[in-house]
Amino acid sequence: MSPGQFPIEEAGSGAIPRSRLAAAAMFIAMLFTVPPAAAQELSVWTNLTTAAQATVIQKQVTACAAKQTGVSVKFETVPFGAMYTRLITALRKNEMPNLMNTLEGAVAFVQAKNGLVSVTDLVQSLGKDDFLPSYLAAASKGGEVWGLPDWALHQEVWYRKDLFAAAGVKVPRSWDELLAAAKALNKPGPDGKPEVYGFAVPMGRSLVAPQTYFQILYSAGGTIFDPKTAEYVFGDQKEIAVKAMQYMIDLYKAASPPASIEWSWAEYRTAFVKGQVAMTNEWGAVVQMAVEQNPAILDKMDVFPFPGPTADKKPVAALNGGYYYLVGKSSPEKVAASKKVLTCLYEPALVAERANSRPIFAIPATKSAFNNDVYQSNAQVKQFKPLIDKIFNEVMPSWYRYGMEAGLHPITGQIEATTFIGDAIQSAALGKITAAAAVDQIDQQLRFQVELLSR
Amino acid sequence: MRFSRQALAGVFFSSPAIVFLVVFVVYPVLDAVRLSLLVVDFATDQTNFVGMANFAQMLRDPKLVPVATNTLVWTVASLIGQFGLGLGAALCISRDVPGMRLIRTILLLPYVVPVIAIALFWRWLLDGSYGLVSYLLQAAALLPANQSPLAIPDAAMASVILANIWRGFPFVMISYWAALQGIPQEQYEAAQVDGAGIWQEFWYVTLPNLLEITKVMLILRLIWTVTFFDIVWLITRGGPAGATEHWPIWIYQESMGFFRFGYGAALALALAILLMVVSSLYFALASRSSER
Repeated sequence: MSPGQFPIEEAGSGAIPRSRLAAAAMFIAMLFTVPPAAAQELSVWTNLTTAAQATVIQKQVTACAAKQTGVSVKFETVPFGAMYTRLITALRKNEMPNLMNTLEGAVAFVQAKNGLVSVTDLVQSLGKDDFLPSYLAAASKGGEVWGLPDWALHQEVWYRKDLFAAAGVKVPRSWDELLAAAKALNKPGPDGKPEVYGFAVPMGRSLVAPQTYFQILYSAGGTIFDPKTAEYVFGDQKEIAVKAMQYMIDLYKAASPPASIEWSWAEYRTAFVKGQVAMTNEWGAVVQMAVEQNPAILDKMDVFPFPGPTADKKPVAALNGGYYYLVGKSSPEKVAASKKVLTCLYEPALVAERANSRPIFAIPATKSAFNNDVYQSNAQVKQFKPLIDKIFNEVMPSWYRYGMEAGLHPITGQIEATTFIGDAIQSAALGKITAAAAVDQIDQQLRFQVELLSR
Repeated sequence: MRFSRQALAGVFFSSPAIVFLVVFVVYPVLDAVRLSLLVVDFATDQTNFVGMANFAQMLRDPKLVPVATNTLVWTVASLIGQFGLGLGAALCISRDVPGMRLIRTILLLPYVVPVIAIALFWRWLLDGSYGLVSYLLQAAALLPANQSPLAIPDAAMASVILANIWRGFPFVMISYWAALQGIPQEQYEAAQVDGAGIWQEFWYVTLPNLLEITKVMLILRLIWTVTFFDIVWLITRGGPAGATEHWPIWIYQESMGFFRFGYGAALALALAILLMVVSSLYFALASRSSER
């Protein structure tokens, strides 16, 4: 025995009693078994749309996490270009973010790979009736809700009231009326060349062409999956699909700048804001662009839902989307802490504040936030209130996202990450193939992908 | 068996390079070969061995012919343009006149500017409504009003090739310029004594002296051009209607769009094998011509 050490027997009979030693040992053991809940770090990812959005989310998440003892947040913005790669890596390493704010396509992607925890309980506790049903339906699968709707994205026709009035054109209620209006709004310049085009039909290969096409298809009642049975029906509805494709091409040829065959969002929005086009399908981002580039047209803008094929029937649906909050699979403690953070984040004023970080483009997906003073008192919301009410009441209640007509499906992510739909549409618009052949191409590839994904 | 101290020292000093090659070249290549024989579930990493099925699918894929044709057109036209412009520019900047150092620096700019900036610059120039190039083409009645070359399949391919020539010619230029500095002046003087004119000097003195550097550069630029993804993706994303989709974009779409990593690896491997075959043939022909 070395100097300074002594056996327990000696201690028991001497200065340190056995009971005290046991107590000390227990105390030391307790120090090392402090419950992990006391020091939990939640990883939070958000897709980077604008700096203002990321700033608001980070502020709110940090504040909400601070309300729980020992919970902190590691916040990260993930650009869209890197999102799927990051998610794949996270899934493979079993390191899904605890919370993520992202688009519906990513919700479907991660849910299909079993990386999410259901948030049905949160929907119930927050009040199911408060959420717009269409936004809940899009993030549902197997009777569960997998993402909490936050920002509601919406697509409708934005048009110039002054140009409509000058041309004596009324708001169209059918495809034929829209085509006629678009033609009437075409205006040649002094040199005889077109100065204003009636309707921008953007067909950028990636994302934009499918968004334009499905807006038209949905208005006529076409879908990829049957919203009720979830059966693949795109190929069975060929007549509607071809009709929508042909209409899109006719509209392009009659009233859209020729270069719009490869336009993305920036180009058609610029064209609208600069007065080069009188109408376009749009998500509301033109308002902020007009504020920055051409404020004179702000009070000349208005909206209407993309019409259905005939005037006697309203459009069946629009192509919309949304940002959702997801809870990634993790330990029960972290899932519980994440859900508490979400409960805090869904205070109506906070939801409204997040929507206000990109007003008009983003509209709250909960009724309480939409009606909240924080949202309604925003300067741009006040200025565009009639338009927003129209969007909220006429466009947002009925919408789909390609592939998610019957709830979450991973095909949505593949449609967005690839160009096979855009290629078929562009080929038809260029006259290389017929509208029917383009639909066949899309149908063939969709069937192949759906079959692969269902294995 | 005993190794000499010199041999051991050699192994010691080359070991960092060996480790680097194994980690960053050998392993990825072997993994790509492995992946090309599998179907991979990207989330769980579960794999299913399918043998050569990915390669068989590639041969049946309707995209094969258009993508291979686009790749060939893109590569050959880019190389012709880069070498032609690079040689011309090198001959110009080899003259010793005041201000030439500044001109050389300016001509190098396209090569050092980030590709994203070049892509945005070209997209802007070719914009149907506001682009300078489109405006001039429209004014000359070569394009309809508000049309962009990027919206017309053949013109889109020509546009991305032009952008690539502009981006890549400085490398050729600077390489040729360095080679031009090494041509002995006596050869030109001898040619002049024999009565050679400027074209004959160029044909019989300059070009033969540039042959060796051309051989090396051609194979380098061939590999770089075939595999150059960024500029096409950023300008056209392979459109319109797939008119500018070349092999690297195809690989990207299959791997990062459809998440078919096995098929993507098979496509990448097929391209690598093709490039190796072409390179081997090229080197064999080049060494035979050097021996003559």
